[in-house]
Parts: sequence; C-alpha cells; structure tokens
Amino acid sequence: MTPSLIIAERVSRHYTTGRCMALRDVSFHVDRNEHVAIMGPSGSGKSTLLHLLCGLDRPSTGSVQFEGQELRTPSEWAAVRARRIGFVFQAFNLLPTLTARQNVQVPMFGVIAKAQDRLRRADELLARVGLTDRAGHRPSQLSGGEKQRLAIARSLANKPDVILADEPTGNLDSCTSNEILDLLEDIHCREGGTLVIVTHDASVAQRAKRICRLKDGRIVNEKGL
Amino acid sequence: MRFWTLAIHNLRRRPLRSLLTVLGIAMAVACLVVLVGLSRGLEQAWLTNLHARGTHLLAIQKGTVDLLAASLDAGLGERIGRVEGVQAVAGALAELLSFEEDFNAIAEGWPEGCHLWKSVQLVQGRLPGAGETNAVLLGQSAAETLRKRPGDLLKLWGGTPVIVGVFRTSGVLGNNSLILPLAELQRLQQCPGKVTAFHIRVNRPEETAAVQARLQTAFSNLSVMPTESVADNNQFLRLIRAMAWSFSVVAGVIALVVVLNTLLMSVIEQTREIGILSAVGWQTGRIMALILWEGLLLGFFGALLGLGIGVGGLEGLTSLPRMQGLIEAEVNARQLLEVLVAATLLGVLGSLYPAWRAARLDPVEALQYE
Repeated sequence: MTPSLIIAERVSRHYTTGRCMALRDVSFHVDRNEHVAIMGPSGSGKSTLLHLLCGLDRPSTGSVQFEGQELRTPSEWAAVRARRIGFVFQAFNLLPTLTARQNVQVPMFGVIAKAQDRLRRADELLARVGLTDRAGHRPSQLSGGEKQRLAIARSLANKPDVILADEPTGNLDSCTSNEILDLLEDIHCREGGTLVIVTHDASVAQRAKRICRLKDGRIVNEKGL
Repeated sequence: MRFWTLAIHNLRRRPLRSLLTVLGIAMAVACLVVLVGLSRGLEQAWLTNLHARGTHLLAIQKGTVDLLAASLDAGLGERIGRVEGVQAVAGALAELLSFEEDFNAIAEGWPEGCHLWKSVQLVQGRLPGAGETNAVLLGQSAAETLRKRPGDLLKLWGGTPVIVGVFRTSGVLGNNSLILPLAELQRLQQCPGKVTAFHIRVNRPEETAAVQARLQTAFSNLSVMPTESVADNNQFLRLIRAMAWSFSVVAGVIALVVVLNTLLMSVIEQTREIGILSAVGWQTGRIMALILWEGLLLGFFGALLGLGIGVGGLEGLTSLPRMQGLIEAEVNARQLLEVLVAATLLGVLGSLYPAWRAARLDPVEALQYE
C-alpha cells in the first residue's frame, strides 16, 4: 500500500492571543492523486488545518509528516512548499506590482536557475490557464476569475505533487467559481497530483472524491464518495 | 525576470520615498566628496609647493603642532649642511600674514642665495637683488586678486616693501603666497635669528632615507621627514582631514538611518507580500536577500548621484571667481570608487535590521495582515 502523501497526527492548534483552540486532536491524511475537500463553517478550523498540512503554521501538539517524514523546521517546510506544494488562496494573494508573467515566476527562484527557463515555464502555465493575452497585465488590471486563474498558474510553477486551495471560489460569482473548479479538476485529472480544497460551500465539496467535515476544531464526519 | 528586478519593483511601489532616500544618501556622499576632496586638495597643494622647491627633506621643531610657529635657531642650518649626503640647506621662516587690509596668505622668508630661489618661476619682474631687503615676490593668483604688478608697494604690517616680481608655481597655495628675504620677514615678525623649518636637498635622492636617519640621529630636537610624509605629520592638515572625515561620518550615519527607516517602513507595508513569498516556498534567507538588495540598490544609486553632485560641486566651487586660486580640490578615480563601494555597503548595512524583521515574520499572520 502506498503511504499517504501528508499525514497530520493528533494535531491541535491553540492560539494564545484569542485563547481559542482552532484544532483539537485532529488526525487527517492526504493520499497521492486524490481529490479531497475539507468542509466546515467559518471558524471550524479548516484553514488552520490546511496551514498545518503545508507547514505554514506549526501544531501546538501532534505532528505533520510529508511523505512519511516529520518536518520540524520552517526551512525544511519552505523547501517542500517550494518544490512539492502549490497554494491557492481565497484572496488570490498576487504581488500587485508584478505582471501576470512575473507573478508566475516568483516561486521559481531557487528552483529553476535560468531566467529564460523561468520565463518559458511561466508562458506555458499562462497558456495552460488561458491567460496568454493577459501576461503583461498587473493583478489590478485582471478580473476576479483571471486573478484566481493566475494564482492557479503560480501554484503549478514548480510542478507540485499537491495543490492546497483555501476557499478558491470564495471571492467569485457562481459562474466564475465553476470555471475555476473545472480548471482545478482538469489539472488534477490530466496531470495527476493531489488536490485539497478547503470550502464552506457544499456544492464545491461535493465535487471531491472524499469530504472531511470539521466543526469546532474537530473532524465530525469523513466520507469517500 | 531576475531576482534584483523584484527589489526594483518593491522600491518603485513608493517612488517618492525611494527617491528621497536616494537623495539623502546622495547628499551624504556629496558632502564626503567635497570635504575630503578639499582637504586632500590642501594637502596636495602643500606637497606640490615643497616638491616645486626641490626639497627632499624638511626638518622642523620636534613635537611642534603649528608649522608656522618660529622656534628654530637659524644657525642650526650650518650644522645640518655638514651632515654627510646633504647638498644644500635653507632655513626658512613661514608666517600667515594679513596685508592689503583683508588679504591673508602665507609669507615665506628665504635666506639670500639659498637653493630655494632657483625654483622660482618668474612671470613678471625679477628676484630680489643681493643685499636688497625691502623687496617682495608675489604669487600670481595673489597678484591678480590684488591687481599688483612689479614696482607697486605692498602694505604689510610694519612696512611697505616693493613688489619686484610675480611668480607662478603648480600649487594653489604657492600661487597665493609671497616670498621675502629672510631677514626682512624676521624683522617684520620680530623674530630675528629664528626660522620655522629647514628645507634640505640631498646629493642623491635615492639616499634620502639614509640622510634622514643621519640627521635624525644628529639632531634629537628636530623632526626630519621626507616631503612626501609632511602631510601625514602635519597636525594642521591632520586636523582638517579629521574634521572632513568626522563630518562625513555624521553624514554617513544620517544616510544609514534614512535607509533603515525607509526599508523598515517598506517591510511593514509589504508584510502581506512577504507572507505570500513565504507561502510559495521562499526560504528566510531569500526573503532577507530581497530586502538587502533593496538597500544595496538605494545605496548604489544614492552613491552614484552623490558622486555626481560632489564632483560637480567641487568643480563649481573651484571655478567660482571668488574662490579661484584660493582652493584646490583633489579627487581621483580610486577615491570615487571607494566612496561608491562604501555607500553601497552602507545601504546594505541599513537594510540588515529590516531584512531580519522580514525574515522573522510569521507567514500565517503576515498573510492576514491588512
């Protein structure tokens, strides 16, 4: 049996500032090439779990393993995020002063050595998400759907094993949301890899093969379709 | 896209602030170039003056701070002249004089018939004749400023000698000086039999060091030095140099604070972007490098602009009609390169703390920063 790609083992996350427990003793795993949704209402701890899965945040207790290895330092996690994990945010989180083409190249520093190779790869990815003609535009000149497609292109920069998407349709209308979900699923199906989507929207979650429901920092239900 | 272009993009987010920072560094650099350029110009003028007179060694009172303070017995020159390797010696008196009401210049008194007179390049008139005491030679710049020519009288405190000639040297200091027979200057300054320094010519220039050593051994009350090191041993020039560097250090510290402030504000404003960089896998070292690049670029462009302003300012100052012939600037490519490197490093130094702050940001908190 192939080991899981990411395993969170009995993780809790306690925030001292708000005196709240965002996650309570949660165990969760992400297998290779699966499409999984983490669903729950606002404040249920789903984004916190996503942050723990990619090492952006560290658990107060418990451990997170990537490919069976427990990564302890921010530096180890940064290296994994750079090469193995792509991240898509609800608020797009693009760099405002850079063009679309430059935004896609940002994660490639330190991974792809030559500037011309980075440029070539960025153009490939912009073509993949249908933004070739918007390559020279800044994020402020793009629509919401285009921004999210650009964010997806950026997440694919270094051919990651897994894409973690935190409410990727949260800032979009229903039509554009479907386009974005179609794009993410198309990438997942055609290029393989793992897709983890955090959402509070049941219709978005329904498109995943497995749904993990969170409430008050605990997993209350987990089922595969 | 190259890494450093990201730094340029960040600096262009706030173009006015970046420009003002560059200007702050530029003014500090310009200040350094002007002050150091002028102090080195003065040193150079001093040395040029000595070289032009064919002096290899200069002997002054040991421990003296003021080279213009007459304290040596002129009779010592005869004993110095007897030391092996010495070709000629001239005990000279130098004083800062005020004449023609508001003109200040160095007046030198030279003994009659000494080797120093041979170095004078006359452009008008003649040298003082044998036994002629009431005569003076005027430097070309001083003559032009005072509109004097041979045959005119020069109003000095205690007398009005006749200008018998106008001379030219390669240094600005010499061109603004005047030369009198030693006895006349001693009379005017009321210090008969005294000199301020002995100008020594050696038989063979390659043996200068050996002659210096012999003189130093023979005359323990004298400080004997080659003309090249006069500037290093001159307290007055050292003081000017120290003041120039002190002002420059203060200007540098101000520039450092300006860079630090700019980049610290920039880091705070870019908190969210730094969180994004962390989320896409940038190591803290790379994030720090980005901020350091910003400091480096601010320092580099500030230095370039400052060098331009400084060199232009020196040119402007020395070409002003009121300043012409009074001050001289000395800057060379190596000094400018050193300033460029130092200011660029200053920019990096100023960005160290902001870079450290950026590297310490918590990525999740940074991503939530509004």
